[in-house]
Amino acid sequence: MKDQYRNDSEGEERRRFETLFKTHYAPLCNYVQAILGDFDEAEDVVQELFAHLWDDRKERTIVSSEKSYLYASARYRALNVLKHKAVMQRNNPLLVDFIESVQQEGYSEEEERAVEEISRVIGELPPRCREIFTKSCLEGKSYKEIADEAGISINTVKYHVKQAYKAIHAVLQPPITPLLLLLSAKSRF
Amino acid sequence: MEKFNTSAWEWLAGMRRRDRREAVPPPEMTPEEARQLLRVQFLAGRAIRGTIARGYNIERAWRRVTGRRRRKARVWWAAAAAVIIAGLFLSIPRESDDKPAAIAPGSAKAELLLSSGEVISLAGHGEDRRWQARGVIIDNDTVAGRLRYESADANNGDASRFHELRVPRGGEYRLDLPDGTRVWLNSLSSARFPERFGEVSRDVYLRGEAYFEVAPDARLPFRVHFGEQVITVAGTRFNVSAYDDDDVWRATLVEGAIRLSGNGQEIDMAPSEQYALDRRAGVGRLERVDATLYISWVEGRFYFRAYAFEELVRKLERWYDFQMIYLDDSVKSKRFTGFVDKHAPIERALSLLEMTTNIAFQITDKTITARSLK
Repeated sequence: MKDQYRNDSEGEERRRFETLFKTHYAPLCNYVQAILGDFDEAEDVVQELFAHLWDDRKERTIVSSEKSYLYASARYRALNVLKHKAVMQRNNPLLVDFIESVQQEGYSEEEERAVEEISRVIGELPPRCREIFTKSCLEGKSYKEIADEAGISINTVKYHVKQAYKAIHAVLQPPITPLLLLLSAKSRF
Repeated sequence: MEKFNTSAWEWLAGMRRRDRREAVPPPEMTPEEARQLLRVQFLAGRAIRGTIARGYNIERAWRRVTGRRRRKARVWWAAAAAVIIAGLFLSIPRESDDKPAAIAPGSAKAELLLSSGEVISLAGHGEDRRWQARGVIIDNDTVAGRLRYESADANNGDASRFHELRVPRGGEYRLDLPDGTRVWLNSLSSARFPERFGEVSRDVYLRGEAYFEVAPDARLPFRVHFGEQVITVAGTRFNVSAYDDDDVWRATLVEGAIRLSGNGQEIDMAPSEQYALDRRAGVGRLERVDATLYISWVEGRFYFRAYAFEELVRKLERWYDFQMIYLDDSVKSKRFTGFVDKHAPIERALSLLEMTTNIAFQITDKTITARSLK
């Protein structure tokens, strides 16, 4: 941002920053919400990010594009929130380690594509299977809780979770063709 | 694909649950399996949540961002560090010249004043303590934030010697009395009680706010004294809020029956009833309420229903330990209804207020300025 704003007057600089904010605020909040699962927390993260950007504008040189910088920063911050929660809940250190490793990998087009692909795959699952998988994956419910709620056997629950997992795992493994890459890159944002 | 480790998936997904009570031992899995499963859970979670969206108030968000930066970022960041481990990257952190965490949520802390005049600090260094006074065992658990009196024999202790548990601003503490009664003391509150309850009644003197779960004992009525008021109970659950600087005092009954006496009046209360005493007007009013909401502070939330802003702020000031300065007096009387999560940073509560009212806040060290936006 430094280079871009160097010769601007304060007012001009502020207007540019406001445009940047207004263009990216909502998509960034949606993006962070998908990581955190909470809209209010997502808004906090994105607002903090912009407040920080503005405060440090003179000391910052952005090497990549503005947009990828914003998403990378938002992702990093969102994972910090997740990590802190995992620490506070005294969860298994496995989760903290995992979040840290995801954080270190950084923002990548590949990960965004993988999320797009998984979203498509989940959308194509039979509704019952999707519902059960969501309860397990997102809400962390035990097989028994899900079975009791749905009035089905634990084995049926396991079966559905496994089917969904298999479908997702399948799209994660094979290399993605360049054509697909192009399509998903276009459909993002 | 390799075998799907069904039990590892269930266990790993369950780790994120907030309500997970005790640690379930992990099933057998290789680190590679764990990583793979967590990766799918992470990406699938993003994929599922990514399909929902909502509208944002971008103008308001913009005002908050620009308002924040004027607060001198350092202060804001220090306060926000309570939830967020600040991620600094591609930039060099500035030298910090301010104190960290100016305003932070409260925690379990209290001091115990013994009849001898000795004052014992009950929190801070995390040191558990257990001692005896004339056969009464006093046990302090700093992790739970709880002081417990135990007595094998009802004749242990001295009924004329009083102890006082004092909770400062920004604190809360639980007190278990020898009869099995449990008392949760809110910030800036104190309870005075004898080393051993007398022959006629069980008396506790309260200042501030406390939630009581009184152990039943038909022979020995339990009495809570606050100001000129006395609440007499057999065995029941109720909350008393009686701060010296609050205009309205409230007694709220959750379960059982209590009798409130004071100013020559006696009022018998039924569950879900609240007696609100307006101390300036000197009038009281009995009404039906959702009593569980008034004890929500015990479980980590503050509940406000049609509270005057000033009254609400006093509650927050006691817990977060700050001082509010009003630039417009008109702000004080605005009414507000809602919840505040006690363990979230103060900014969360403030932003909630900013969103639902036209009040704007500015934080400087331990002071928050409130002004009304035109």
